[in-house]
Amino acid sequence: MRGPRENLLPAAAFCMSYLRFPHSAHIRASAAIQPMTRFFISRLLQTLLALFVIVTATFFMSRFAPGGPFTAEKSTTPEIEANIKAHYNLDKPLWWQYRKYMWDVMPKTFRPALLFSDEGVIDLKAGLGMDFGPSYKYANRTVNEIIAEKLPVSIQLGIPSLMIALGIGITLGVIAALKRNTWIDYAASTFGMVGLAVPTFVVGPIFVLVFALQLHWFNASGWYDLHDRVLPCLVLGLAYAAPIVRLTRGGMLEVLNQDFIRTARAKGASETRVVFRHALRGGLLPVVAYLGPATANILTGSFIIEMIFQIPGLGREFVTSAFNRDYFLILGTVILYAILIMTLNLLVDLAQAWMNPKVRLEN
Amino acid sequence: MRGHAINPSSTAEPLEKGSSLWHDAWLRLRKNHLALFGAATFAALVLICIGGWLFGQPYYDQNNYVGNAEPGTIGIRVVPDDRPYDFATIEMLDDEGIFTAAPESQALRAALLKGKTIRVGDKQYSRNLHILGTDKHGRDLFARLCWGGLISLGVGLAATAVALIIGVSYGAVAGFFGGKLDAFMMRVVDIMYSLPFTIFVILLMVLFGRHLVLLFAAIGAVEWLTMARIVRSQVMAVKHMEFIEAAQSLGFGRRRIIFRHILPNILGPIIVYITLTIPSVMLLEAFLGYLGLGVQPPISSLGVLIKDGSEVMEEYTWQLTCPAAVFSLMIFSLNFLGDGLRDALDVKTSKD
Repeated sequence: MRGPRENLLPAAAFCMSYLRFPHSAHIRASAAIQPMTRFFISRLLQTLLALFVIVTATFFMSRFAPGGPFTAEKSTTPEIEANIKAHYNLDKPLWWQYRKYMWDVMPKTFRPALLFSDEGVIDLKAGLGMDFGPSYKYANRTVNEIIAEKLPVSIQLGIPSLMIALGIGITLGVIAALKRNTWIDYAASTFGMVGLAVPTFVVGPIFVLVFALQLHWFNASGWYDLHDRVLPCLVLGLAYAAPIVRLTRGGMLEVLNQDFIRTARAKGASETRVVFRHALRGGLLPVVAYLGPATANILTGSFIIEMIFQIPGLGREFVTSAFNRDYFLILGTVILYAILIMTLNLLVDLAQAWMNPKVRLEN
Repeated sequence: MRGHAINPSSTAEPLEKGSSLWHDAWLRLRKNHLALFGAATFAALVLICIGGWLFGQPYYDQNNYVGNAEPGTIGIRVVPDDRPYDFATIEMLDDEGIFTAAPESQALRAALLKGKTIRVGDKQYSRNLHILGTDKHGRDLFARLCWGGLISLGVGLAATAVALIIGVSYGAVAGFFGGKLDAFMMRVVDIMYSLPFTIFVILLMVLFGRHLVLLFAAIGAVEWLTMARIVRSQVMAVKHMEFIEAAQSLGFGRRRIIFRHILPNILGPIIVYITLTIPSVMLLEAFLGYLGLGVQPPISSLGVLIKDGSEVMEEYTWQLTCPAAVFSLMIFSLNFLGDGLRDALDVKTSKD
């Protein structure tokens, strides 16, 4: 183990690099730089604290759970098991293991150039100095390698889904608000209601049944080419488009009734200009607030999608690793999910603060 | 939190013919057809589930003879029989307990299907109408559906109760005392909000076995956060009102003021949030059930049934569509009811 002191500075540099904040926000809110920065720093510290809590809780929870990674292998003698445990440091005191793990996963360097290898594979160890340890179930493979292989799949699933959710959700919501009490509005509201009540694990199999098994447009499962991505992304995206429709509609209706919109209309602004320049920014506030939990849900909701469509992503890996008591793989996936979700939450909070002067001034 | 606070008639009648908040809310709710429709649908579903559970075939009814039967199939119901073992009839079946091609075996089967009750070995065989067919193990789908619906609803109610108890006490304390305690307690809630809780619930369920109690606790622990926020903001709004001052001047203790004077006055938002939490808990439970982490067989829940159904949906579509329809209808009706209640009780949707 390396000494704890020598690598402290790069870690601090890593944190500082996070502190870069979009310049546009500084210019727009020049009067509010001070509170914004304070707000950001307090939220960042909160996020780091939450991350620490997550890692610690997961570590001890998985260790105190009954069973172990090697309990299933009946053929081993006690000596062999002891050897395996010694090899993986499982015989050391729990506190020692915890300290070593915490140190290993801490980002200790920041070399963005090395973060992606030539083949486009994520290398967290070279790029950030994060070492997630070995996997117990996949012999001779590190958790870093498994993550590098599975994470891109989950991202390829998540990002198009988010695009679909936002695209359909905002468009439908805005149209519904503009054409209030017409059939479009009712259709959009119905869609929002149905999406709320029919979960992905119902929509998924039904879509497979209709589009793959009956109409033969797509494959029922698999993750090979672009064609295979349509159904999973669509199912995941539609599920989160529904609440976005409701939120956009509600937010837009509220904004469209306000005085400044009437003023804009009275001054002869075209309807497009009224909607895009004036109403949308306020009307989308609820959507932005929802985006944090939504992205978290899309990421965790993808467990189900990955199961339905047999996609080799991180979600399935997470569930199986927990079943296998593959301690480091559990921790690795949890940390990764936590970082993703909490970074997104942080960004959403900032975007919200930037968009809404009330939030900006409160903090 | 006493019963009389919820019941409008007992508080309003003796004093004067005023209209209480609850009476007004009821008048508003009565005009909301969507909410009434939701309430009626929900009540009907619950009654059907209870009826199917009480009078239908027990869910554990193993019936090898008609696995994956179509809806409306007449099958055979097998229940244990305490009377002495009957060796004569058991020979008519093969080792698996299935009817053979032998004439006497087929005659027995025909008699059964006509409605006779026959004792074979240590079991009682009788005719059984499968309204929704059977699952792959030959269990009656309707019975499982009723049972599963009740379990899903039960999990929803129990976990919501857990969330209610934790959230209300936490939020009330934070809101009532305010100051540094409030800031600290709410910061804790903020931090917990940012934790990816679904992941934790999954981990908990996988690592520590799949007990029903653990399921309540895990889901309740996720859902109390929003409740705490709502209650806190409501308490803060109410605590400076005059009747609280009056109570304080009468020398009532803090506990009495919180539980007897503040909480009954913020019941509206709490009730609305409860009706909206139950469906979200049911969704989470079904999500876990679909991952194989919910309740374990032979008990079923709607999520488990949907999962089982989706495995065989290609050949036996109704096994997926029936539980999916019941589940969606339940969530639908509860959401409609919750939205209606929110409008009726005039609750702002603010969460902090």
